[in-house]
Amino acid sequence: MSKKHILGISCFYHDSAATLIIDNEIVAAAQEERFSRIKHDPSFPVLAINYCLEEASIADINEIDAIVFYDNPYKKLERIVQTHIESYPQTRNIWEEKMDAWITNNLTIPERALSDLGYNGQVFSVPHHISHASSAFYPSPFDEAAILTVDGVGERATASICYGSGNKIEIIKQMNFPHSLGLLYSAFTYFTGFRVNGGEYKLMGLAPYGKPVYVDKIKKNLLKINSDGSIVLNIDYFGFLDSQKMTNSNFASLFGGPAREPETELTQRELDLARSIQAVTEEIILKMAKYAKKLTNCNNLCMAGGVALNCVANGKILQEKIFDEIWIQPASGDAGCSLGSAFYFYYSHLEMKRQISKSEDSIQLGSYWGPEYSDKEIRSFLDTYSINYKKIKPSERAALVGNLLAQGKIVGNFMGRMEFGPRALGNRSILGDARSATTQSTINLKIKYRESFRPFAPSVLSTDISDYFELDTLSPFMLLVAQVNENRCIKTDTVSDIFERVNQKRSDIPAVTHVDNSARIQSVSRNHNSEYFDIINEFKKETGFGVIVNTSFNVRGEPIVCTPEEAYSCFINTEMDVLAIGNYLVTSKKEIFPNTIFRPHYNLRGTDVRKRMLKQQPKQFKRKDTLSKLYDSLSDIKHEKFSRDIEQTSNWSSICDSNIIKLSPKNPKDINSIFKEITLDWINLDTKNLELNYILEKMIDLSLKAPILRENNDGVVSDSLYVMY
Amino acid sequence: MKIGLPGWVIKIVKMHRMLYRYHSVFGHSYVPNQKVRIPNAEGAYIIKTNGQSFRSDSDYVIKKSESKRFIFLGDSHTAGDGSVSNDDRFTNIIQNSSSDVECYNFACGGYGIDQQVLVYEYLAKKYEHDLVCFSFHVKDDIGRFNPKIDTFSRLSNQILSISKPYYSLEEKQFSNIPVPHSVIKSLEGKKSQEPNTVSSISKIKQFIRSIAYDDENPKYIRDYCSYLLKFYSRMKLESPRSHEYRAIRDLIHRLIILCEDKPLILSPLVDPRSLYSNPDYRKLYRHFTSNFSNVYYIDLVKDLKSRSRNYRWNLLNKFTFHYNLEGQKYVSNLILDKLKKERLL
Repeated sequence: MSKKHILGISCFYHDSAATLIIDNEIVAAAQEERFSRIKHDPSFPVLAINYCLEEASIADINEIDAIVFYDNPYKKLERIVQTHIESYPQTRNIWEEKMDAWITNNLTIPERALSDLGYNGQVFSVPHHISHASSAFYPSPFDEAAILTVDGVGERATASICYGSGNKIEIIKQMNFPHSLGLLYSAFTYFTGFRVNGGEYKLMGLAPYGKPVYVDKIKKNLLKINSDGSIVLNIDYFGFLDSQKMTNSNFASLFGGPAREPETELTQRELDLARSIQAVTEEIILKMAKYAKKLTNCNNLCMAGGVALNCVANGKILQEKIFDEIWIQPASGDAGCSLGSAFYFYYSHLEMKRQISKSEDSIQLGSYWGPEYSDKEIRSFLDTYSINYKKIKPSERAALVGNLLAQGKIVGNFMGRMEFGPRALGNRSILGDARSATTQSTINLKIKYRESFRPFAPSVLSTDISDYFELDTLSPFMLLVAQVNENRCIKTDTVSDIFERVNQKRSDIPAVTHVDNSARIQSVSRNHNSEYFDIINEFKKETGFGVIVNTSFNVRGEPIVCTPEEAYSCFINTEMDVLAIGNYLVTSKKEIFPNTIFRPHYNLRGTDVRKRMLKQQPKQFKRKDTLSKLYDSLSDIKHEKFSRDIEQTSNWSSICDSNIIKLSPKNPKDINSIFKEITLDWINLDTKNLELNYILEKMIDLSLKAPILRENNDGVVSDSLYVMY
Repeated sequence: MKIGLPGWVIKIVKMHRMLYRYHSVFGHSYVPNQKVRIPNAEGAYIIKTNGQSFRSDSDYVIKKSESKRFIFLGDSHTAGDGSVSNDDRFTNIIQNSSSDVECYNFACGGYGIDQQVLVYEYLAKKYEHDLVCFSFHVKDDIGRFNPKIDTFSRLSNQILSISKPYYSLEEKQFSNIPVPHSVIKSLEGKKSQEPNTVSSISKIKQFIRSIAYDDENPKYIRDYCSYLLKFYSRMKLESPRSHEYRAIRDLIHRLIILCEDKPLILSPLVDPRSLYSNPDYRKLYRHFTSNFSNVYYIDLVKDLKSRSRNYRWNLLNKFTFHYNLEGQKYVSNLILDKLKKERLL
C-alpha cells in the first residue's frame, strides 16, 4: 500500500500553520509567521506549506492524498450568524467589516487550495476541538488517555473532554460559546492592556507580582463555576458578542475604571487582576481535569488548546496528582491544529493502526519540525556578506558555547531544525547565565526590548531537574511551572515597586526565578536535542550549574528567527555578545548592507499587486452594501438563544461536533446544494426559515464571486531578477 | 477553474532559502547541497544542488566510468531554473535516454557566457569528459556581459548590483578581471566608477535603465525598456570593430581551444515566442566557429520556425519564460538527434 501523504492546515484566525505527515510520521510542521515575518500571521499558509513540501521533496502538490482543514467553517458560520442575530442591531459595523473577508476566506478552502497551491485533490475539514484533541493524543506516548482541550472558541465548542484509545478519539462533552475560559482570560488580557491572542502569556507572567484580591468579585459577578469545571459567563460584562472589544463598560465599572492603555505604566490594579484571573483559571482547569478523570477513568491526560499554554495551571494539575502522567501538545494554540487535523484524518477517517513509540517517547520528540540550515548554507551567507566568523569544530561547539555562557556572555544560538510551536527550545534561542542577577533585565531591556517584568525560562538538564526545582517529571516543552527548590531561594525584603522586585536576587539562579520563586521549566534530554544538552552540560562543567537561561531568538513584536539572515540581523540590532550560528561563531557586528532592515519586506515591483488590489476596491464597497442589506434581515430569523442560565449545575453538552466533512469546490450555478451542504449539521438556526435561506444564498454567492483577498501578502519578488541573497 | 497559480501569486512567493552565494572566481554560484522548492505557474519545482554547487542530485566525480560523459555549460535555461526540477531538464532527459551517457550540468542561473567559459576553464575541465555542449541563451550572451549583475535582496529589500568577473580591454587585449573585492552595491547607493568594460554604460543606456528599474512606471514600459537594453547591446554585435563583437568571438575561441580536440556542441537557446524580433545571431556564431572541425552547431531557430505558433508558445513556462517540461523534451530531442547524426552518441 502506498504511503499516505496528508497535509494539515490551520489559518484565517491567528497563527496559521501547516503540517505534513507521511503515514504516521511527522515530516514537517511550521507556523506561517516564521516565513512571512508577520507575527501571528493568520493568512493562508502558502509559505509554510511550501516548506513542508520542500522537506519531503515533493514538487507536485497533487501527490498529497488529502488536505485537511482544522475546523468546520460551515458550523462556525452558524455560530457567527447566531451571534449577530442575538446582538442585532449593535453589530452592524462588525458584520459589514468582517463578514466580507470571512466568507471569502472560510467558505472557499478548496478553491483556495486550487488557486494558491494548484491542488485539485480532496479537501476535508475536522472540527476545531477534535483537531486540538488529536494534536494532543495522537503524538502522545499514551495508548489510552483522557483529553482536555480549552481555548477561546472553535465552531461552537470552547472546551471539550475526549477519550482517546488506540486510533480512536471520542468526544464526550463539550462546552459551548459564549461560555469560554479562553475568552474570559483574553478579556482580562485586553483589560490589562495586552494584545488578545498573543499577550496572554504576558498576563500570566505578571500574575506573581499581584495579589488575588479580585477573585471573589470575578466569581460573584463575571461567571459561575460549576463543580465539574463548566462555566457560565455573565455576558452582561463582556463585549465580544456585540462589539470589537473583549469587555464593556460594566466590566470597567466593576474593576474601578477603564482598561489600561497598551504601553502605559502598569499599576497595582493590573498586577492584582492578573493574579486574580490566574487563580480563577487554575480553579476551573483543576475542576475540568477532575471531571475528565471521572468521565474517562484514565490514568493519563493529554491537553491542548490555547489555555493549555498556561503552564502555571498545568503545573497545578500535576501537583494535584489527578493523573499519573500528562502530555501537553507544545503547539497548543491553533498552529497545533494543523498537526491534529492531519492525524485525525489519518487515524480516524482512514482507520489506520496506531503504533505507540517503543521508547515511551512522544512521536513529536522535541518538536523540532521546522527548517534546518546546513553549515554550507550558513557559510554561504556569511561569505557573501563578508561577515567575519570563526569556524568551530562540531565536536567543540558545545564546549565553546558553554564556556561563553559561563563567562556571562549572552549568546544567540542558531542550530538544527526550527521549533514547531510558540516556544524556542534551544535551536532558535538566546542563552544566558542563570546565575547572574543582571541577566534578566539585560536580556529584556537590551536585547529583547520588552517589558522588564517578564521572566525567563530555565533550560535544565533532564537529569538535574530535582536539583533545582520541585518537579519530578520531564517538561520538554516549557509547559510546566514549578517552584525553585527552597534551599536555593533567598529571603527578600518586601518591596512594592515592580521594577525593584524584578532586580531582587531571589535564589542562586536568579535569572530564571520569578518573583514567586517559580520557574517555567524546559527539561533538556539528550534524545531530544543532544547538542543543546551538551551545551548545558559543558556550562555545568564550568560552573557546577546544569541550568541556563533560554529565551526565544527574536525581539519584541517579531516572530522567532527562522533563517541565518534573520538571526544575523537580530544579532547586529541588539546587544547580544556572540552569535553561534551552525558551526560558526560570530562576534563582530557589521552592517551588512546600508539601510538593512530587520524585517524583510518584499515590495519590489509590489505596485503590481497593490494596483490590482486597488482595482478591487469598488467591488468591495458594493459587497459592503449587499452585506448591509443582509444584516437588516437578521432580525426576522428564529433561533435558539445562547444559554444564560446560571442556575444550571453543569454547562457541558453531550451534543458534540465530531464529523469530518469533505469540502468540495462550489458550483455557483447550484446554490441550493451548497446551501444544503453548509447547513447540514446546523442545530441552532432553523434552516427552513426563508430569511435565513435568503441570507445564506446571498453570502455564498458573494463568497464565490469575491476575489481572494491577500492583504497580508503585499510583497512581491521580481520575476525578472534573480532572487539571490 | 484553471489549475495552477495566477502570475501575480507566483511573484509573492517568498523564499526562506538562499539559493545563490558569492563565488570568488565566477561571481556567484549555487549554495552547495541545497534543496529549495520554488512554486511557479505550473505547480512547483525543486532545485537540488550537489557538493560542487551545481544543480544535480549527486556529486560530480573527476574520473569517469565507461559511459560517455557530456559536460553542459549554460545559464538558467540550461540549469532548469524558473521551470523544472533536476530530473526534468533536457540534460537529465538526455542522460536518462541511454545507459551509456552521463551528463554533468555546469550551468547556473544568471551566468553570462564569460562566466560559463570561466566555469569550464577553472572547474568543469578537470572532470573527465568526452564532449562539451555550450547551450547559453542568446539573450544572455551580451546582456550579462558586464561587470555586474542585478538581483533582488530578500534581506535589504533593494535591487543589488552584484559584482562578477568581467573582461576588460587593456592595451587592445581582452583580459579577465577577477571578481572585484566590493561584492555588493546598491543601485540606489552611490555608484562606483564604471570600469573599462566591453559594455560600458552610456548615458542613454543609464536613462533607459533608470526607467526599467523604476517601480512607479507601468510594467509594459519597464518591460519595453528592459527589451531595449538588451537590443541596444545586441546591435553592437553587428560591428566587427565593437568591443562586444571581439569579446564574444574571443570567448568562443577560448572555449574551443580549452576543449582541445573534444567535440563542442554549440546550441544557443532562444525564446521560441520571438524568433523574428531579435537580430539573427546565427551568422555570427557560425562565422566564429567555421574554421573549427570539432564544433557542431544546432540551429534551434531553423527548427522552431518550422513549428506552429501554439507549439512554440507551449514550450515555455508562461510566467518565467523558461523552457517547461515540454520545452526541455524538445531541446533534448534536438540535441540527441544532432549527436546521433554526427555519431557522437
